[in-house]
Amino acid sequence: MSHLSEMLRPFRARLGAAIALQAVAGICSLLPLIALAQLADSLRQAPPLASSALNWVVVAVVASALWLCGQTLALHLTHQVDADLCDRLRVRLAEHLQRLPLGWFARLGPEGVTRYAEQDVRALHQLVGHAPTDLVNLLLIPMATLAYLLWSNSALALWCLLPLALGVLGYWRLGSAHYREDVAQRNGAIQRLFSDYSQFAGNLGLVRQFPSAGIHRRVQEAVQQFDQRFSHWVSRAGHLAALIQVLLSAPWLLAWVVLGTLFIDVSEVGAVQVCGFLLLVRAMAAPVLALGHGFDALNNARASARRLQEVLSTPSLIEPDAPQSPRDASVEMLDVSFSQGDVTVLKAINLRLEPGTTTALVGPSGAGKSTLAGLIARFMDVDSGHVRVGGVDVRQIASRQLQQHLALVFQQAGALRLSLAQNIALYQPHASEKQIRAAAKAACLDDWIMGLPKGYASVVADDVRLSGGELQRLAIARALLSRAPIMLLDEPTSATDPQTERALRTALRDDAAGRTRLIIAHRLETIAHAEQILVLCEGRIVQRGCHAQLLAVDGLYRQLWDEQMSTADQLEFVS
Amino acid sequence: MSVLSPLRHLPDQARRVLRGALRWMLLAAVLDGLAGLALVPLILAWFDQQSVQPSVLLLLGLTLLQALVSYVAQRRGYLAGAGLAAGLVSQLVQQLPRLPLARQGQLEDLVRGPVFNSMGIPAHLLAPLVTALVTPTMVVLGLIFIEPRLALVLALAYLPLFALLRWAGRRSLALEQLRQQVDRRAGQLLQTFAQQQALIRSAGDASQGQLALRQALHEQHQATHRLNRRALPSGLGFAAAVQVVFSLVLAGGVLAVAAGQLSGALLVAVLVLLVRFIEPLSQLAYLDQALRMAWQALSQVLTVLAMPTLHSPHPGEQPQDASLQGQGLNICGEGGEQLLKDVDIHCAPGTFTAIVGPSGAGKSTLLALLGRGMDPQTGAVRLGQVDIRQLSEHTLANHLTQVFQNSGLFAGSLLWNVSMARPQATPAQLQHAAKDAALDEVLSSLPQGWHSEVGPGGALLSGGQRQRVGLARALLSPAPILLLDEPTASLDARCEARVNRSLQALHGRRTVVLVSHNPTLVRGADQILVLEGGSVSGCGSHEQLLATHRWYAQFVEQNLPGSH
Repeated sequence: MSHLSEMLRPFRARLGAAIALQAVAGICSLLPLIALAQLADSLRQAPPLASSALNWVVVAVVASALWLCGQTLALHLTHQVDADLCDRLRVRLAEHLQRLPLGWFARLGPEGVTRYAEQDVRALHQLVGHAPTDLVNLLLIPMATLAYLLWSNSALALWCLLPLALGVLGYWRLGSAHYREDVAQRNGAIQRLFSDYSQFAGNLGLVRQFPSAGIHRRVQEAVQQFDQRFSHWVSRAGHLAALIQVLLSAPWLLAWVVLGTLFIDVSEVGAVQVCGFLLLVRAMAAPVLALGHGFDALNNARASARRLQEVLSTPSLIEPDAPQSPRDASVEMLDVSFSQGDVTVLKAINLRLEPGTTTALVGPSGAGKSTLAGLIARFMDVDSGHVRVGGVDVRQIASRQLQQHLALVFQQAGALRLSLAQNIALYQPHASEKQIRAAAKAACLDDWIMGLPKGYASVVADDVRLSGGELQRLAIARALLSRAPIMLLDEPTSATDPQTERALRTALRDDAAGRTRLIIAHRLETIAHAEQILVLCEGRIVQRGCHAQLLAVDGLYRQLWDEQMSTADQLEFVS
Repeated sequence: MSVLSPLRHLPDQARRVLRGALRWMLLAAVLDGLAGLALVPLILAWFDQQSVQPSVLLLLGLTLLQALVSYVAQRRGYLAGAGLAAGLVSQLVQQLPRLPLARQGQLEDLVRGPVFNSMGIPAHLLAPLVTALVTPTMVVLGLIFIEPRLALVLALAYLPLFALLRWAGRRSLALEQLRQQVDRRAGQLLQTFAQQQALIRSAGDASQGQLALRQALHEQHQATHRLNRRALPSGLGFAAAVQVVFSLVLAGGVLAVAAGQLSGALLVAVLVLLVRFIEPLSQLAYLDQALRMAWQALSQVLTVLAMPTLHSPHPGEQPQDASLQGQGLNICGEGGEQLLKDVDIHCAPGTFTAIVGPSGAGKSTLLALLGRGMDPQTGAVRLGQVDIRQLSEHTLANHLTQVFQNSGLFAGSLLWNVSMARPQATPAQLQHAAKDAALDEVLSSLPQGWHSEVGPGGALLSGGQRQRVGLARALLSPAPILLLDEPTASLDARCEARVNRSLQALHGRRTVVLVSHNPTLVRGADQILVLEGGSVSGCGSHEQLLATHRWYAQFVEQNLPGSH
């Protein structure tokens, strides 16, 4: 509960007002019924009616009007608070997500992120929007009704409390540890069904090929298990829930009142009072019924609040207290090691990128090259060792400054839901249109963009969809436009059409002057010109040097080179 | 009724359970009404100081019966809810794989959202709905025998109440849906933001990307506030009307008694009855919104179930060999554009066919047609001399395996992902497939080898590793025909060479059709098909095309390693 109350703290005033209004409305909802009960006596006698009778009618009408106003305002206030809370949470989430290590996202998958972004924030809506008013009704109305009924006839009132007490006990039992395991199993089966189905529905082409195997079978099993667990839950807890529903239903309560009058002499009670009981006993029970439903929402909201709090307190990459500025465009890694889970991805990495030079990072796939680039950009913190940019440890550089010092072109190139011009100018928001177009031209995008109906103003995902190759070229244009002194390129041309790849490589090479570059590439002939080549294998740097030096030695580089060149030889070039 | 027409597609099992529960609920509601009516003689007897014994016994008897029936109905309702969800999901699992490729989008949230929302109908919403409809009707009918004027008044009061309920319900549903849309959009913004982290971080805090998100979230917030304000009048519309009706009847009745036209005792009895039967109606107002949304959710699922699917006969015919042919294939896209025009392709059994061409030429579409991901508008695909539409689903799955660009891994162990193709595979067969797909290096680099967890969508593996798992799975499959779409795009040259060798080794054993940008893979094919702009512009062996086909020669030259 502490998480929830902490999140609600800024909204105390408005919530308090809503609760007060709801209290007034609650009492007013009872007055017409009380008025009727008081009227019953004078109605029984022959006309003319006492003047008090008409007064009671007036009371009933006025109370109805007051109830309407109070209830409306109260609900409006709670819904306002709910909207403000959700908005605040989302903004906080956005800020925090920005600083979480990338490994966190990979582990969760898109499903997990959806959970936080949508479901959990929405679960709070049910709670904040309705719970305060429901709680007031739950507490106030039964107490007020009970007070009136006790004043009317205490013995009968106490008799009427019995089914309500049983109902409360029943709900308490339902929420107790006795059933918790069944509920947990039921919920577990539901979650499993969700995730299995979601994977199934996202890969229907594969399902067709392996019918009744793999994910197809798994989702069928998940359905069966869900059915089983749910039926089990119904047989255990469902009978109690159904029993409580019946116990608190209108016909049963009214019959209970009538039963009570059998034991207590009716003439003593007075028909009038009995009518009062008949009218009001349901008002006592309705909130108790809400208890049953409300618990579910409350539990969901508590779980959601806890999960959100967990995300918000997941350690982020820590900003330095006294940030220093990088002094030049060099990059160093000193004895760096990094592991992901139990897999050691990088071991004892030592390297230096001299300012203004191009360094290539090559090696078999899965060797850890992309991870290494990610460590320089401080997407994750190293387990041991130091990463230095411009002579300063990256952990001592303010993240904003580090981000402006590096330009990244990564394999999973993406685009934001902005116009193409804005996407290209992401690192250089003040770039002129001429500069943007020049960058796009160098990245072989200008012709294509000018061919679109909205040109540079086309918004990604709304007006235009980019293929993998186009996204990469966009990323290259972005990097070319930025003035960052260090550029990290991870397979910058892997998804492009072979026709344009050559032009892109030329553009990148022309732009290289003055910048420190790290290029990760598979095709060795594209990086043979680099001043330094590092060969990474199974997380270690096994060779370093320039192309000629490495070819002279009988090592992994020459092996890779020979392999690639021999496949080239197989292609006879007929001119 | 058009409103109830989606119910036609409800699976049989779910329908049966629902009908059973509904019957019990109806009975409970009828008894509820009768028990309510039994109050009138009781109250009259009290007021007139007569013997109450018979009335009390009648009331108690009816109520006990009602309680029993209602209990059974509740439990049936819970079970019907689960039955509905299970039935719908089973049906979806059966139907969805038969959908054509184009319709397969956005089905992933169907269970988490609509199916589970519709579960609430039998469990919580149906019983109060039935009660709210049946009980007041019973009461009005019964009153006709006691005091026809009051029965008429009540019937007249009932009708506008219902109309008001529908209006208020529709309006709040529309507003609630708008609110949910706003909510969902905000959630999506956040989700996209999370997925774009690598990019957004590089762009810096004050960049337009971050600002755009803040702005968008702010707009959503404002929209929510606007919706809240709009919901004010209709929010309590129905409940207010109920109060008004009660006050009117009270005031009017009191005046009638004062004028001597009505017996006071009867007025009290009827007012008690009114309160009694207004109660289920107000509950209905509270539930109406939930009911409408649940109904919409159910309709959504049933609409998906009603979508036209690719029909396969059962048991269907048997292909005579492992050849694959396409004749005169024509297909248009969703927007009416012609994706393929009169395409012919013939792949003899055991041969290696490559399909090349500029991006957007229709290569993936052709491959999809060959794998029966959709049916062409005109023309036919023949597998083993038999029209592919005459093959049963199992026959097709046994004869054809496809590797898509998105390698399609599921959360689970590597072993499970690969052995999906042949569940009874021996370790030797698994190792062999892994070696052919260059997966063995991956296995030795992972500490848990075959039992390593790959994460949702294979997220714990790199792009190249994922692709090799998909390849190993295809190579393990016993199907004689293999369709591959860019199978080595994420692999380095060494792995690519290994895969190429494995594919070449399949000559004579399996029919391979490959789409690729890589001349190294394409070069060893028995025939190469060049697609440009949706039609075949050249077909022949590597040497033939190199000599005669301009685009192909360019394609080979520009992608030759070592040429700058």
